[in-house]
Amino acid sequence: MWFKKGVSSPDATGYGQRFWPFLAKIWVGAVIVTFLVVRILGSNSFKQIAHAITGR
Amino acid sequence: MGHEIIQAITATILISLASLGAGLWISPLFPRRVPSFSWYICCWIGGFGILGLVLFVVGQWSFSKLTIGIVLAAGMTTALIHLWRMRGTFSSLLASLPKPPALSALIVLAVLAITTLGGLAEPVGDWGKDGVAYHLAGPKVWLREGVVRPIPDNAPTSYPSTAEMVFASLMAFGGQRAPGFSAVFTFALFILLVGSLALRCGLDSAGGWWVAALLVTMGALYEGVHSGFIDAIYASFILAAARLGFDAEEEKDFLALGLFCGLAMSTKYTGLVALPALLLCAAWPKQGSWDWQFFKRAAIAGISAGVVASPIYLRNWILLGSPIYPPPAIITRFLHVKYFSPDSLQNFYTWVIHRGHGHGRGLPEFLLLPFNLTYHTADFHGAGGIGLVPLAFGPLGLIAARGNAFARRLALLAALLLGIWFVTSQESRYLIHVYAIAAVFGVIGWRHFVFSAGKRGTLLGTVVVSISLLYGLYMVGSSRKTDLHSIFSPSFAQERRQMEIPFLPSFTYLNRDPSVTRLLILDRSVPAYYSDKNYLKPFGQWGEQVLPDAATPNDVLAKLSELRISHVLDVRSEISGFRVPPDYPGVVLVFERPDQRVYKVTGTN
Repeated sequence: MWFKKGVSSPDATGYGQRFWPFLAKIWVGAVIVTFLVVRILGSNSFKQIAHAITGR
Repeated sequence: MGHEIIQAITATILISLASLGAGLWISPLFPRRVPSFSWYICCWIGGFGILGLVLFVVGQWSFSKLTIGIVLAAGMTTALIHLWRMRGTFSSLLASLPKPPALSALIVLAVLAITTLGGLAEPVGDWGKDGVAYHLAGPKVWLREGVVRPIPDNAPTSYPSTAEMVFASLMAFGGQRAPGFSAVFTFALFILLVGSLALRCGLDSAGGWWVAALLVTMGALYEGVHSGFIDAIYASFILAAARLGFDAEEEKDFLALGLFCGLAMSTKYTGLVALPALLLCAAWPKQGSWDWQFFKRAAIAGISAGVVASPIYLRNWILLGSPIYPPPAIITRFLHVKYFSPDSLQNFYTWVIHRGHGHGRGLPEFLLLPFNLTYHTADFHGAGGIGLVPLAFGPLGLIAARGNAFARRLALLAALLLGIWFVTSQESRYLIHVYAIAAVFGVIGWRHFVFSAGKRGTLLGTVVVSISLLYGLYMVGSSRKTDLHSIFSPSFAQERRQMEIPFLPSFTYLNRDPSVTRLLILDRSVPAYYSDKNYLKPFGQWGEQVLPDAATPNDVLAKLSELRISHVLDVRSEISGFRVPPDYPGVVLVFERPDQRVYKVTGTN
């Protein structure tokens, strides 16, 4: 894989331990979830479906 | 149409060759440590700007196919001589290039193919489309009149116009479609330049390809690339200034920095506010300790930037009364400018402030910018978004690349330019260079994230990148759908012309009638771009008033003979009804269609 080589090693950057990768995963996961919420729940199609179900 | 397409392609090839040649003129100023790949890209981008600037200066006296041809020939000759001398090295250079990752290369090529085909479509649209309203209208009028002058009814044609000068030369040899088609050339240069920044920040060529793939699928970035928009060209000058300036060591290297800053300033006014940020980041001492050389380096770059951009600002000062036109609100009390009344200027400022307000200008809004630019890019007039990678991985990339001095300066530049953008005009297109830098840090962050976060990290990273690429591809494809359709379907192209060119029947009639020598367009919403004939438009789109003693359409109609008008185009538009009263003396109705009338002036009013 191309990313297995190249720029400085992750240990040298200081977040090659447990906590920082965990925090990074939470952050990236939150970005994805927010996208889904904003794009899907905010889409016109979803609003139309919600309107059809709830009548509001 | 086939002939027009061949012309557009040929003109773009000629311009690209001439740009390379013009770039070679300035290349001795580049820092020695810049590798040949980056050297060539900066050379090419700088040459594009130099070509526009030379054409601008020459065009103040004469702007014909002959004068344009001489300038282009000088550039092309230099390029051909260089290519001939270097012919032995190119094959080995190409052979040494690493194989790109297939998926990212495919995405880049797909978007470039869309840009190539879509760029061949005929420019259409109303006064709300900037390309038709002024980026292409100015070049068409300058070519027709044989001299480069601001169009009094169209203030944006006085804006810094390096890119528009190249559009004009493309039009001269390649027709109306050539400026649109040339986007594939300028976009490719932009991608290559960002790739060179990525390499300089520590990524390998595969990483550079992923940066390119993410860039081309940023819908908000892509809309500043095509259809006469010049924002990607401007961003290229800013990023080339950073590429060379951050590696500058000798005094002459700072001349190169100043030259690219000057090209940015002579492409868009926003280059004026980007200059201090570039000077600060490039001239700041490299060892970290304070050095008085900072001022000397900044002065060299600043002065050379001013000299490079001066022709455009001096021309405006002499002809219009202000180097920046329309002038900033703060200096209007000292300067009297032509064609704008105080009320019109006030309305213009109000519009500009409203347009660039974004979500507001307070500290909370600034802190929320990364979120809002990612998820609500359209609120900044940036349809298509920028993908999730900058927000998801950009912060990690900043941490990962903190050991790279070049990357630190690049990050600081992005932060400063973002701040300047935030307090001036929050228009998404004006932030393209920051999007590009964000993509570089995004890929650095992605790489380190995958490295350190294990299998789940790899999966999350793949999801983020896939969403960005797929959503971006969909948005880019959608935005060029009608352009592509019109290329493959002549009947759709015709239908589109009729739908999207305002008052097409009248323009067709007027452009074909040889007795039309000077056209009067009374409605300010009518795009004069579609007129092939000399015209007078007394009231401009932005509130310009061309004739000081004619404040209303009736005042103008009373002067038809004096103004040597041969025909009048009168329309019922979204902003007004017909302006010529029924049975108006001195004019005869010669053409009529729904909402549009053409009168011939008989000269007896």
